[in-house]
Amino acid sequence: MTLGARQVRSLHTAYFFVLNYDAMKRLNLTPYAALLVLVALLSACSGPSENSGASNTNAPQQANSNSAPQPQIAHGSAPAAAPSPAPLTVQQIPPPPAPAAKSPAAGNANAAKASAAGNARAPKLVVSDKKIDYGKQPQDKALVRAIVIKNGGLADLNIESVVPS
Amino acid sequence: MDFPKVLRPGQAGKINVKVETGKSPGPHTKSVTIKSNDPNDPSHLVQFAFDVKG
Repeated sequence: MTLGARQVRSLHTAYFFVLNYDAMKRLNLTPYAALLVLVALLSACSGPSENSGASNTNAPQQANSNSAPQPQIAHGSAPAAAPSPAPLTVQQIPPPPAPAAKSPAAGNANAAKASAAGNARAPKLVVSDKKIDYGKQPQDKALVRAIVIKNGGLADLNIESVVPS
Repeated sequence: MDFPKVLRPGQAGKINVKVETGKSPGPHTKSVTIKSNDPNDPSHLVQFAFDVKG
């Protein structure tokens, strides 16, 4: 059985119409060819990652290093798809600039200055002793002590109460 | 408890405090609170410590 030229051409078109631009043009398949090119590009771009695929099937116990959280580092400009992995360069992220606002310590210092200026004419209680230690004492003894107080301020000091606690 | 009600600037005074040791042996601490119109120290605490012999 021999095939004529027309049949051979039909077979050629039927088997290779995808790759034969002339056949596609004749059959008005140009839009489909563009779609095929797009699909091929998409599939190439979304190919399997480095750690997936058949290469990992022989070592299922290996932990995926990408699952661990990575520290925040800045990598250099080495290409990702280089045939031999270039050493990564780690760049230190510079700390954020110090805020321009005043620090709390400076604010407290200013507040203390303002308070001191406001209390320049205030009274000031000065007590001779803060803690009096009598040492060892017998039972049922009355200890009498005079606490000396003084007004070290510039206004009258009013003693409102003296309360044992 | 006797204490001066008003102290002029630079004036000093005395507060007489009496503390009873009691019968319970061991270390004790008692305190007296002086309340005044000092804006920086309106409630001043003075402590008395003693050790009662058993």
